[in-house]
This record gives sequence, C-alpha cells and structure tokens, in this order.
Amino acid sequence: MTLHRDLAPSAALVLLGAYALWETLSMSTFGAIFPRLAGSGLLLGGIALAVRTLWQSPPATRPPGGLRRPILFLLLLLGWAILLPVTGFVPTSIAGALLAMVLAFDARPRARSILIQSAALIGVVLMVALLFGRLLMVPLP
Amino acid sequence: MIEAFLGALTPFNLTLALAGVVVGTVIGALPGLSATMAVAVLVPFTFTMDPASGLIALGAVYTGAIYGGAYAAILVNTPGTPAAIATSLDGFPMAKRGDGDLAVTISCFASAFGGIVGALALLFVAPPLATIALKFGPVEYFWLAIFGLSLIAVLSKGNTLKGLIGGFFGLLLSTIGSAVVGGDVRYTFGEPALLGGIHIIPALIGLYCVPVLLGMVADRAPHIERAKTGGGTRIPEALRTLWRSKLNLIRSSVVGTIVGILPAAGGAVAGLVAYSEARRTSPDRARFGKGAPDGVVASESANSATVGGGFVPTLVLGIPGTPPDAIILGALMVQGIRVGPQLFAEQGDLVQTFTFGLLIATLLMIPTGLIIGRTAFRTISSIPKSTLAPVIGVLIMIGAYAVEQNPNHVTMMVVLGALAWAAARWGFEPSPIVLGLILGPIAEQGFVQAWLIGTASGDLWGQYFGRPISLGIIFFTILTLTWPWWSDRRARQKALRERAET
Repeated sequence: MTLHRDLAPSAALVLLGAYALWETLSMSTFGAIFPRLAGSGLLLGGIALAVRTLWQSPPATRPPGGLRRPILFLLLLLGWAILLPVTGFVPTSIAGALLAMVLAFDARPRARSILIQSAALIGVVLMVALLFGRLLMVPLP
Repeated sequence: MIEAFLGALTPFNLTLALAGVVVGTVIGALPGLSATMAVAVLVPFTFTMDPASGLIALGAVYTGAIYGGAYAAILVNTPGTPAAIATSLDGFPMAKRGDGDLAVTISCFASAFGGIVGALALLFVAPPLATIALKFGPVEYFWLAIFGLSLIAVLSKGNTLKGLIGGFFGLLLSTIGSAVVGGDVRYTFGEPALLGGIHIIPALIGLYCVPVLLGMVADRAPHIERAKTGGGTRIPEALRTLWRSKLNLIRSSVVGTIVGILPAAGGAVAGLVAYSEARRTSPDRARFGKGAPDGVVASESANSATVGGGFVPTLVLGIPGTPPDAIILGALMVQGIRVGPQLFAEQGDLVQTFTFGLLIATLLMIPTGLIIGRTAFRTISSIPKSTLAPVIGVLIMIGAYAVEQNPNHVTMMVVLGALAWAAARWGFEPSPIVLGLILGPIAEQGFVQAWLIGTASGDLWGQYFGRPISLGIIFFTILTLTWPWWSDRRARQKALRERAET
C-alpha cells in the first residue's frame, strides 16, 4: 500500500520536472537558470523518491481523518473563490460560511445551536465587510 | 536627549503609541493583512500631526503588526504576516499540545525584547550600522538566500529528501510570471493573472491555512488543546523560559536588527535565519519543529528587531529596510523631512523623540499583547469547530483578496491550499515550499546580477567567493548544514567511549 502511495507523487514529480525543463528551451540564458535548477531538482527528486520507495518501503504517513469531508470542504472553498467576484463578498461569504458550518459539525446539531451559530456567522461576515470595506477602504467585490 | 524622551512622553504621543500598538496587533493577527498594509492604511491620518507624533503612530502600528502576526501563527498555524513564518514552526505544535497560552506569552516578551534591541540600535549606532547596508551587493543577497534555504534541512522533520523536493517545488513556483532579470515570461500558460507571479500573502494563506482547515473538518479531535493551566498568561513560566534562552534571545535580536538593516530582506528572512541559528546552537535540536519554546523566542525576537533595524537605513541613507519603511519614508517626505545623514545632525531631536516613542510603544506591547493574546487563545480553544472553520474561511477569503483587491489571488490561494493538503498526505511539509517561494526571487536576482557584474569586471569567481561578507555567510551556511551531523557524531562517540570505560 505504502509502495503505491509514494510511487504516485514520484511519477507526478518526474513529469512536472520534465515539463519545467522542456519549457526552459524557449527561455533566455539568464531567465532559464533557476527554472532549470528547480526542474532538475524535481526530476531527480522524483526519481530518488521512487528508488527509495522501491528499495526501502518507508512507513505510511497518512494523517488522521477521512477524505469525504475535506474534499467537500475544498470544493466549497473553490466555489466560494470563483463566485466571490460574481455574486459579491457579502452574499457569497454568508452562503459559504453557513455551508462550511454544516460541513464542520461533528455530530447532529440541535436546532438552537444551528440558529445561534448561523446568526453569529452572519454577524462575522457583516463585521468583516464593514471593517474592510468602510474602515480600511478595501473595495470589496 | 532628556528633552526628546519627555517629548515622547506627552499624553498625546502616549495615546498614539497605545492606539497604534492595539490597531497594529489586531491587523497583524488577521491572515492576509500585513504590516505594510497596516502602515499604509494609517499613513493619511498622520499628515495632520507633527512629524514626531506621526512617526510614533506609524512606528507603533508597525511594531504591533509584526507582533500580531504571531497569534495566527501560533493558534491557527497561519502566519498573520510573512515575518511570523518561523513562529508557526514551533508555536502551533505548542498550541496543539495545550501550551498555546505559554507560546503567546513567550512571543510577547521575546517580541518586546527584540523591539527594544532594534530601537536601541537605531538610537545609538544608526550611522555606523547603516554602512553595513551599503556593503551588501547582489552576491551577498544571493548567499543570504542560500543560507535561508539551508534551513530546509532543518524543516524537513526527518525526511530530508521530501524537504528538498518541497524546496525545489517552491523555487519553481517562485519562477512563475515575469523573470526578475531579463523579463522572460515563464510558466504562465498564457494566463494574464499569472504574469505577476505567485503573490506571497495568498500563497502563505493557502499553503499553511487551507490544510489546517481541511484537517479541522476531517478530524474529530479539537483544533488545539485547551490550556493545561486554565488559560492564564503563564508569565513566570514564560520568563523562566526566556531566562534559560537568554543567549538565543540576544543573538536573535541582533540577527533581526542586522537583517532589518538590509534593504528588502525583511522580517521573514530575519525570523528564519535566527531560527536556523537557534536550532544549530541548541543542545536540544531534536525538539525544534515539535513545539520548542526556543524556536518561538528566536523567530519573534528577530522579526520584531527588524522594526528598529529597518529604520536605520531608512533614516540615515533614505533606503527603506523593509516595505513598511518605504511607506513611512513617503510619509516623511510628505511632511517635508529630508532623510539622510544630515537628518541626525539637523533634526536629531526628531529622531530621538521618534526612537523613544518606538521604545515606549514596544513596552506598551507587553500589557496589550498579553491581554489580546490571552483573549485570542481562550476564544480559539473554546469555540466549536463548526464556528471556527467558517470564520477562518471568511478571513482567508478576504485576506487573500484584500492584498491587491484581486479575485484571482483568492483562487490561487485555494489551489495552492489544495496542493499543500494533497502534498501533506504524502508526507511533504509546507515550510520548505514557502522557503523556496520566498527566497527564490532573492536568490535569482542576486545570482544573475552578480554574474553580470562578475563577467563585466572579468572576475566571476571572485565575485561569488572573494568578498568577505559573502565568505562569512557561506561559512555559516556550511556550519548550519554540517553542525547537527558533526555534533550528533561527537555525542555518539562520547557515549561509546563512556560505555567502553564502564
């Protein structure tokens, strides 16, 4: 299992390093120095990681927790980021914060708890909008 | 000098210093709002004040913002400002095990000490120190960046290969956009949003904060442990830690002052260099990265010392040491003050009043920092994750956007966060990536410029290896890389000898 887990990033690193090096062919001499260094490092690092994985089978480093909720949360953040300039900061952030709250509940919450936390989150979004938009003069989307 | 001291102690200046520290601390604590932004936003308010009061207000905001970055670094694992990157390395592990209150208090005292050392340097040795800045050429910046990159070996937490790969990945990210020298457009995929490269603030938020958020919703365990001692400030324990770490405290403050003097180096580099030195010289190196209070002491004292250090070249030479200094320099020009060596001769009182104001603001940071820190720790350790996660979500969205009011930065932040989260599942830490990203452009610019100068002068080898400061930095880089191996070997040999004798 570990062997397969570490071979996937090795392959990705080799491909990324090779792509980075290939792109440097169209760069000037000075402009290509550091991209070549980084590309070579990734390529060689990927190969070394693959060799080490096949040779030693290092222990798995999987962090605690499942995958379903983090992936849903990540998709929520992505949607939040994409919709921010379209629907505006306040509506997007209120919707995003409420959905994030739902995803972050560990156990089935009581209706009262949902109401209180929802009100608090709407208050936080409005306060942040006021702080940034009015006090710090940041033009919000 | 006494008149200048009394000038700084007027009720108006004291109020400004206190308000500045509070506002700066709060702004610095919010991910995405840097010290630069805190100072920039408040500059217009100082135009109606007399120059000394205006400078005190801006200096206090700057001091508070640099310190405030420590809260988010310790409690949320997201450096509130780039200067607090090294603070998160040990501060967050401390918070995870229930010592967040101790970490916040240590950071407060260490910041105050560093701030005082920086301000004293400004007061007493500014003109001779400013000449150091003039001796730093491109090649010295290149070697300084390499020294910082050597920290990857420290940050790799037992997996040097993955740390190095992370560093190279950060380096590759740093090359995205227009090249710093030559103007090549690199790895933009024809996307105009990438022309300006990866902005450091959204990158920091994404790489550090998004994985923490995702981990928070994935894991049922509390985000950070509640305080072991009921959530006080643990002042006696913090002071004992600082006393034990006094050499580290003094050395890191001096490092911070010197790095602050170097234009464009800044608090992030200062914190990392001081952290690296603290780890190298510590007899308990294995604890670094796992919640060693010495790591917090080094980072916080160094980054706060850059405030006073940064004012040295700003006031003596007119060269801003850090980005907030550049804004304060502009504010001084608006006030009609000509900076330069003549400033100390012609308007010495103004400089002294400002420096005393900075010292007073640094001292005021202790009570305000302790109160704000205790409140922040109690709040974050007690509110449920279902409230904390959405609040952090709102803050990272606005933080990534507000830097340049650019919605693309928000998407960039989320994408980098997703990458960091996936990388963490395969055992890659975010810190080496961040090091490569921050130090890559400094190293590249220094390397290419030094190459051009060396080629033009016909002494390429001498350019890289023939300058005294460069040689000093190379020596410390080699020492940093080899010292842990050498001292471990010596300890093993000593243990073997002792076993053989018994």
